[in-house]
Order: sequence, then C-alpha cells, then structure tokens
Amino acid sequence: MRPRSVEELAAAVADAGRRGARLLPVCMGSKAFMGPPVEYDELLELTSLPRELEVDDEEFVLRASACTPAAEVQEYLTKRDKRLALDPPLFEKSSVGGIVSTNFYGPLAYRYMTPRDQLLSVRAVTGEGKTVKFGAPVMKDVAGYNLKRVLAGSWGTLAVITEVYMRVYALPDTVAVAVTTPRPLGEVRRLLPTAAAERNGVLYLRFEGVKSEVEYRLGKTKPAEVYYGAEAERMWRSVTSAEDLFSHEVVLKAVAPPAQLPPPPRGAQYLRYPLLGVMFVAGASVEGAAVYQLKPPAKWALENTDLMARLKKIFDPRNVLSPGRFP
Amino acid sequence: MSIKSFVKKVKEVVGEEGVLHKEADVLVYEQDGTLAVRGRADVVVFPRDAEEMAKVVALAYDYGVPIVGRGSGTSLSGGAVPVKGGVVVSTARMNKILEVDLDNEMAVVQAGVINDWINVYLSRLGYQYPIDLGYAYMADPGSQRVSTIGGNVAHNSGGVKCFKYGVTVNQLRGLTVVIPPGEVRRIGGKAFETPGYDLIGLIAGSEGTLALVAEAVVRITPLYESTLTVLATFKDLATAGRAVSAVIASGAMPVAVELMDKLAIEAVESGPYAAGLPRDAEAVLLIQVEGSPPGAREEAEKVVRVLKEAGAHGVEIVEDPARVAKIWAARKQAFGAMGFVGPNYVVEDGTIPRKRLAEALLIAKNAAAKRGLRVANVFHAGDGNLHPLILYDERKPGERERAVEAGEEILEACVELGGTITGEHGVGYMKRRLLAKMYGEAELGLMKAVKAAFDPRELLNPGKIFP
Repeated sequence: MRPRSVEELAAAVADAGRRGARLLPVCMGSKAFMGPPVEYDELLELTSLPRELEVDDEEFVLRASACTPAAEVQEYLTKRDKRLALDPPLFEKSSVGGIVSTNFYGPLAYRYMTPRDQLLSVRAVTGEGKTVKFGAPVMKDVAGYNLKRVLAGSWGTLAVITEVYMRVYALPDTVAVAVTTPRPLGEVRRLLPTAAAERNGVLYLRFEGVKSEVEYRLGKTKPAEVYYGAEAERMWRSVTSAEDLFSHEVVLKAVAPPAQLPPPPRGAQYLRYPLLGVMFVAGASVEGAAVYQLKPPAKWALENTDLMARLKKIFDPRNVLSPGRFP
Repeated sequence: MSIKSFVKKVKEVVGEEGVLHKEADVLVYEQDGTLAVRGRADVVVFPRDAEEMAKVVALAYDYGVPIVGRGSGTSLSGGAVPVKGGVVVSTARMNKILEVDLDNEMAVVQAGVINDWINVYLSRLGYQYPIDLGYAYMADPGSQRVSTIGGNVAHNSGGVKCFKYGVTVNQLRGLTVVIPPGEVRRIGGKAFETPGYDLIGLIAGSEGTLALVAEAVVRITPLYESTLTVLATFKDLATAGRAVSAVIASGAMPVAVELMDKLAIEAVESGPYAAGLPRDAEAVLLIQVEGSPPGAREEAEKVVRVLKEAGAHGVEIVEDPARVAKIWAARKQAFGAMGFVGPNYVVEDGTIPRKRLAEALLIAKNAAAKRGLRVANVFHAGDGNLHPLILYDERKPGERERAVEAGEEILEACVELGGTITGEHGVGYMKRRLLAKMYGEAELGLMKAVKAAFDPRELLNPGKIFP
C-alpha cells in the first residue's frame, strides 16, 4: 500500500491491525531487507507521502519528511553552508527517515554522535495508527520520557517515522582527508582526527576546523596523500558509503570496545571505524566481537529482550509493524 | 506490614549502619536543591552495590513502600524529594570509580560517584602518561562538584560543554540498573552500540520512575592542547542573543557558549567567586574554544571578529589562565551566588529557539515584575537553554507561591515560543502539571504505559513527571 497523506497512513496502519495484516514500512529500501528478518504481508510504501524540507537558518534545525533522500537533504544544506554530520554506509541510497529508523551511522559519529543523538524531535504513526510527536526542535529537552530515542534505531517495529527534526552544523572552514597505511589505535587517537575510517588496508583520517588547526594535525600525521575541500568530501563519501562492500551477498557488522575490535579477516572487504570499535565485513566471519548479520537477514542476539518486548507491546500491540525483527 | 518491620528487614540487607529512620536523621532528606518543595521519608537506606540496591527495592516492592533514589540531592525539580514518603535509597556508599579504561576511552563508575571525581582522577592520570594530553568526562552540570553520576543519569543532566559534547545520555555506553520488583539489569557495556531499542536512552532522564541507576559506563574524551576563553560584553541582551547565533553560523565549534545578565553578574561579583566581570554590562558572553595551539588561537580570533561584527561592546581573549579559571568558576557558582541579591530563588529551565531569546527574556522579566519580584538570568546560550532565577523572600507570606507562579508562566511561554519546559533539570515534582503543555493524550498515554510496564505498582518516585 502507498498512502498519500499522514492521515491515510494512520488509517492504513489502524486498518491493518483490524485485518491482522503485517506491514513492512519502506522509503528508499536500501536497508529494508537487511538485519533481522521480517514476516510481513504487505509493503507499506511511504514514498508518496507529501515531502517537506526546510532548515531554520538561525537555529540550525532541519525539518524533513522521512522519505526525503539523504543526499538531497545534504545538497540542500550545503547550499546554505550547512550539513548533516552523518556519513553512514549507503548514504546516497538512503532516506533521512531510514537512517534515523535504523540508527545507521558512520565514522563521524566519533565526534558528532549517531543519528539518534542528533534527532531533536520526531513525528510518527504508532502500530495502533496513532499520530504522535516526541521531543522539541531545540538543542536540549528532558520533558517526559525520551521516546524519540527509542523510535530511532527501532527499525520500523514500533512506529512509522514520518518527519524528523535534526540538528545540523555549519560547514567547517577547512576539511581535509589524509590517506595513509593503517596505524595502531593509540597512534590514531593521538592525532586527534575528527573521524577515522579504514577501508581494505587503507586508513583515512578526516580533519575539520579552521585552516591552521587542520594543518597542525596534518603536520603530525605526515600522510602519503591529502585531499581538501570538495575532493576530500567526495573521497570520504565514497569510502564511507561502501556501496561495493554492501553489494556482497553476506555483510556482517562487528561491534566491540575499540581496543578489542578484532583485526579484519584476511582478504575480506571491510570498512572499519577504529575509534568507535565497529567493522563491516563482506563474505567472511568475525570472531571476538558481537556480530550482527545485515545481509542476508538473520536474527540478532540481543540482551534484555523482555524489556524490549514490553515496549513493542505498548507501541504496536497488534504486531502490525515489521513483525519478527525486534525484539 | 508496617514500616517498623520493613526497617528491621532492610537492616538485614545493608547492615545496622546502612539505615536511618529516626525523625532527626530523616529530616535532612526532606529537601533537595529545589527550595520550594518538601517531603518526609520514613526511612533512608544506604546500599553498597547493585545487588544490595536490588534487595532493598525488592523489599520495598514487597511492602508497597514508595522508593525514591537520591544521589547528592541537587535536583532542581524536586526529583529527590520523597513527596509520598517511603524509602529514600541513597547512593552515598556506592561511590567507587570501578575502572578507568583509557584504551577504550571509558570509565566505569558506581552511581554515587561525584561527577567531578572522574575528572580529578583523570587529571592525575595525565601526569602518569605525559604522552597523552589527558581525558575528561564532558557532561558538566553546574553542580558537578557535588552531584552524582546516578543523579546526572536520572535527570539526563546537561552542562556548559554540551554544545559540543552533548548531554549525559550522549556519554553513556552502559548502565547497570535495578528494576522492579528488585532485579539487577546490565544494559550495554563498553561497545559503542547496543542494537535493539535504546533502553539506556529510555532510562536516562526518566527521573528514577522506571529504574534506579547503580553503575554507569561513561565515555571519556581526549583533551586538546589548547583551550581559550573569549569574553564579550553587551549593552543589551537582544544583541547578545543575536551574536550567539552569528558565532554558531560562522562554522566555529565552541565547547561552551554561556550568557549571564546584569543581575546574575552582580550576584557572582558580590560573592567569593568574583572574577572581575564588568558590573555595568547588560550581558556577558563567555565562549570557550579548543584545538591545537595555532588552531585554537585562529578559532578564538574568528569568534572575536564575529562578535564585534554582531555588535559586542567589548571583546577579549582572556590570556591569564588564573583569570580564565576564575571566570568559569564564577559561571558555575552563579546559582549559589544568588544569595547576595535575594534570600531565596526558584530556578527555571526552559529551552527556546535561540532567535526568540530577547522575547523570552522580556516575558521572564514581566512575569516576575508584575508579581513584585526580580529575575536574574544565566543561560547555556548555545543550546537556547534559559535559567531564569526568580528571586523571592520566603519570610514574606505569599512570595514563594508568586515566584513559582511566575516560573510556570515563563515555562508556558517557552513552549509557545517553540521550546520546552525543561532543558536539563527534569520535570520532577515542580513541572508535572506543565508536561501536558508539551504532550497530548496520545504521547502521555504511551509514556504512562511505559511507566506501568516497568513499575506496575507505581512505587518508583511516585508523584513525579506525570500531571
């Protein structure tokens, strides 16, 4: 089904509950068939919902309909000297709602944290077909339970996100990406990069800030190559989007405390965030970390699933939204 | 089942010395940092670890006794006040830093650890490992010298550095909590991510109504070589507000952006934390930047330029480290200094879009003035987080009530301006009626259902958050 308004969407979800139909909400679909498998009857396609995209120039708050392509948002913001500080895999194939819903993040999360942390407010339709809004479009809000954080990363199992308010940042004066051979974690730390990504045996260090700051860091790094500005951004996007890695049949995500993250499996394609302790691997297994299979879909081993089940029952008592995925 | 029998049983769990129940002893637990609300506990219990805490909760759940967690009692929303009596569970004996793991940039602490102890510990480590620049725990509420990590988590406390580094929830990697009916749960750990629903995000800021926090795994953050403070003065507050927006739009990434108005400056300058701030300024703006020595310098100079263009009266980079320390201490002690301009105060905590700052300040001033009261303002300006301090004298009948009323009027206005009733202090007891200004039936219904799913007997911090 393909609702054309939030009202239609709410009615469709409520109706599915009455009919006993199970739905899989999807915008651009880059991650719809990843992660824990979903048992569903119908796709709930959100791409025909009205689109809105605006930024408050003074507040640095973005308001975007969930299905707005992330790349479109970024382009819109760049023209206004702003940006979303997000660089998850498959960025160009993702909608902003999909990124929030899965809490997919990239190496920039070391400095700017994850989509869940940058989400200021969210509008959504619960599994009962109720329209709700959590949070406020300001930098800080602790009124009531922080349910916007619970919806972020819930992979469409609690509510259908229809609109997000995100914190955005001004473009830094200077951006540089240094290309070098992989270095030990302690050494990477002492270079104080804004973000670090390691891809198939090459380490990319990103530096942001005023020019002298970036030059100072580069002077300590002594990289083989350095890219600046638009060229740096292009390179960073291609490394972190990792589209070729995600085109493999089997993709795993390994998560561990950074110093305990196992080395990349020999010969395998990988993308690693050394400062965060996260690694995506194609077509090989990883030991010594918590491993979550993204492709093909497979159940994840989670803790505290009884507590998660209580939340699922509250938001989606009839088990309409993405059943089977969580908890 | 009487309180007497509860006391006897709880002593078996935590020992004779871990329980207070005489009137004179429990009296000091009837208030927290919120001067306008009181409640008498029947008994105060001091568990030593998560397991003892769970046994105390189990016993209280069994007896149907309300359970109120308490760290140092610095809550500014009545969060730690036992408004319905019952047992206060103090974390005063759960005060150990369990582990500092520099390799993973993490610290594991018990809930009763004072926020600033982590930094004191880390600054000592800096001398041991001079190759590193050192680390800090970045969520730094004004109360950080006394408030506990457990209380910070319960309120999802902010601070001055959250413009760059986020609030308490953004520092959390793992929590050990006690949930009804008395069970220890570990959520997350040292990994950056725990897939599934964000239970840490749910419990942080739930003000002790869903769980008691026993331990936390927090992120610690590497320091930069250089930190510089820019001090600017303004002839009017509206210009100061616009200058803040200009700095943020410039691409600078300040660590902290703090504003104080004239009355707040007068208060701090009259007290022991006087820092030589100009008393004739209508507003003082403090901005901290960091980076490499040349980088921080360039960024500070850029901020100076932007502030001048935005109409600052005077701007300087404060060079003397002793003066820098004094200035920030003055800001952090601003609430305490209010005694120099008025005997009591109600502090509010609304957040608004920054561009509505001038409007909000006028509303605050008028809300107080029409009740014969004065208001001093300190703000986390980068976050649009206002702290109007409404001064009153509790010896004068009716003044406290009028101050509370003025505060509520200001917070309602914050919501109308597109903001929130609380940015970092919590809803607690004081603002529970205002929550309905933020949320309708559907949202409140979900929140209440979450509460019921975690605490079916409604014994965890009853009388808080919900209208």
